[in-house]
Amino acid sequence: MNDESPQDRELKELWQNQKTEGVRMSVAEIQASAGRFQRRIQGRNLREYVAAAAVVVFFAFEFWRAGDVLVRAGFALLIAGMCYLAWQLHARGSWSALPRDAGLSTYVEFKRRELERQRDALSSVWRWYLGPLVPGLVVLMIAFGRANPGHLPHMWLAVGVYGAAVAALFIWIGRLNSAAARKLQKEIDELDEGGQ
Amino acid sequence: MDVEQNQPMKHAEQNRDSRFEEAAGTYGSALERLARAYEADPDVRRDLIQEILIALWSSLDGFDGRCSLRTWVYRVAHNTAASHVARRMRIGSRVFVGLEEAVELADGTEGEAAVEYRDQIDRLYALVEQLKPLDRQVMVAYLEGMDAASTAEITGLSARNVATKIHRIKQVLARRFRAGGGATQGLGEGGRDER
Repeated sequence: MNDESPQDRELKELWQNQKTEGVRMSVAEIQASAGRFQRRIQGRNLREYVAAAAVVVFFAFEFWRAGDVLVRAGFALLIAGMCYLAWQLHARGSWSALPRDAGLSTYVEFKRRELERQRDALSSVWRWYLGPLVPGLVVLMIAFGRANPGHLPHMWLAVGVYGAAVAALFIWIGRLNSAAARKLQKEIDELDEGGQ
Repeated sequence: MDVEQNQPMKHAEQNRDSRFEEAAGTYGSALERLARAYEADPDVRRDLIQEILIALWSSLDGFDGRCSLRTWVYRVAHNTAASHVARRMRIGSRVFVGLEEAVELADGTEGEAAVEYRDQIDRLYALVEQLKPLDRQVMVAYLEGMDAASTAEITGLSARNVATKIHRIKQVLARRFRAGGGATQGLGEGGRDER
């Protein structure tokens, strides 16, 4: 950077000598803030658990109310699927403190890891987000169609239309996520180019 | 016996705390400038500075001297600030440009010879804030007077790419701040993203 112009030097001086607010934190203040931050994360996790538990309780209530074995099996599968989904959401959650090895990672490494994590979550959405709910929904649809043969003249048709609508929604969500995963892969490739 | 076993842990904590005091004392002002480059809102910026300091203090447990304390501090600070920008991106709809586009981007005040001190600082920040995080890191490192090797060590870019980016930074600064400059072309839409 020996070819630096006087103007560039002036700008650097201007930048480096600008007035700052002098925000300082003692170690004691840092420790207190870190504790508050940790409690915020715990609070957020608790809210997620409560929301998942509320859905599971609702399905459990329906399970308990249902007389038909197949309906019960459907709700049992939905409960299992919801529990798995909630655990996956928690395990893949992005709202956390910066990793302790942040100083070991360059921005390219740090960002690459984050993008890979998001890409993997999006590209495997059928396995951990949509898929776990499918068995319960399918069994419930069959159970409802079977349990009410005379209730609607075209019960199976209604079940089929409903099933097709749910399947279309799931496929649409899956495709959106695949497209987002491809976009992230492009960003990863660009990062890799920058590191070469 | 417990007291003896706790001694190494206490010693490590003291090491971390003293390193933190050293880092905050030496780089405190630079970290504030860095935070200003990532966050324009003064209140949110104070939170960001605190977040950086907390991340730095936590991370210093793992500091093993494989890189300099300065590199460590800047890596933690930039990674924290870039995460902050990514979070804000999810909330808002701000788009950033690369240095390539910034060269062509006019801010409407090029070539003014007698620009007030405050204006120049504001214009510098206006320029820095519109850059993608990676380009922003290189720009901040350049303005902080770091050499290309240090910038490469912090960002993870190759030395060749850092050199290219610094060349573009000089072009941008020339267009924006030197008398007689005159970038008037509009900004293309392609290539804008969060990175």
